[in-house]
Amino acid sequence: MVLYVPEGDGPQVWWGGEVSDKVSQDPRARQTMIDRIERRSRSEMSDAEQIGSAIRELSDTMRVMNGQWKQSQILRDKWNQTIFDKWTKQRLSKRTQVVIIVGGSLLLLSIIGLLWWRIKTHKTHYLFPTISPQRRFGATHAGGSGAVVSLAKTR
Amino acid sequence: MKSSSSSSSLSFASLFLVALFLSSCKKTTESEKTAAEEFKDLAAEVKESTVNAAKGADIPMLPLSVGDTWIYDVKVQIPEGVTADRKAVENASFERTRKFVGKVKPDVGHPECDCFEVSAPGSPTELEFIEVDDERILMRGSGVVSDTPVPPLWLDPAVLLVRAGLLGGESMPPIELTDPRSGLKVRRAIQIVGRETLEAAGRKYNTIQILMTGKDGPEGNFELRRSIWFAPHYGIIKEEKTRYINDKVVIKESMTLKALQMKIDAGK
Repeated sequence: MVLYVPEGDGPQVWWGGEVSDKVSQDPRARQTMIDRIERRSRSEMSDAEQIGSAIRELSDTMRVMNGQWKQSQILRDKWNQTIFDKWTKQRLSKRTQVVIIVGGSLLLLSIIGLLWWRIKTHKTHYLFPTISPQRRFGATHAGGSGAVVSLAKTR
Repeated sequence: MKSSSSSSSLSFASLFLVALFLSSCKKTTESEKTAAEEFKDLAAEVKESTVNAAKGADIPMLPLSVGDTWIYDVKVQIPEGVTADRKAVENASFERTRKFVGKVKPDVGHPECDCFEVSAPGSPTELEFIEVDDERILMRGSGVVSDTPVPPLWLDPAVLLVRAGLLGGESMPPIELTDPRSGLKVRRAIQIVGRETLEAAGRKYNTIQILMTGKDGPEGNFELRRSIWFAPHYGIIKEEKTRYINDKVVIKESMTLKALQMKIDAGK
């Protein structure tokens, strides 16, 4: 964006997003600048010098503007990239949050459900160690001390 | 036993959900920087990176040794009606020599700084005071060599003339000071036009074109337009200076390097 500063030394190009002083986009200021270049070149000593003076002033102004324009283009591209990156990151982080919350909640609910089901259906079971019948019946107070225990083949 | 295990699992679940909620809240408060602030930061970052990319080849800006000498061809033009005899001066030419004399104290009240002696036939020898480091050249003031002490024109704070990594389109901070000799306000604006290769004194120089504009006098109608082509490591290669009163040329001066004697250059 080219901005013209009334009474300024030349056109100003937006740099860094901030333009100081009394800046306006008044096209009359452009005419003021051209008039000044004309006045200055008219006072040169020869025709060649008149043309040379106008060319030098315009060329310098245009080169300054071109330099500022290039910088602002670089800045604009970087800014667009930053905005895109930020938007993508935000979008991704929101999606990740939703997935985490929903997935986490489902997992927790299933754990809670499982625990609840386990608690509700719980029955007492007694487990005994595996002991041979000879030892079991031969034990003190086994109640079968007089029992005759014989081991027979099943066939 | 049943109730305690179910309540602990429920409290664990609620804690997990609260932690998730808090973490999402924290992320939103961290990104509270406004877009304008972010843009400002980015602009500074971009500027720094472009300057850093360009400045490597410019350092050191001006490696000076006592005795380093620059000889310039100077041409002066004055339109008729300006001088006392009202005659025009066309292409009056002479040689100007700029010699580095080392550290000099300009006056009792001023600190010692790097000094050049600028001499030309028929003019009093002038002194130019600067401060040089690897990356920058700062203007400190000027003076005249005279039998009677003349206070120097002193710039406080020093004014940045050129620094490494300058790119076309950049502007230096504006200058406004009062000339102690005339009491008049002196205003200067410095812009960088761009980089350019110039041929002078039998070789090519990569230069930075600096455009200095200024308005002097009580009405600000005494204007200056000065272009300086500064080559990093070698100094000023070319200079064009035009003075206007009410947009009419009163004096034009162009100066081109004719010969350069630098100790650092001779050593290569």
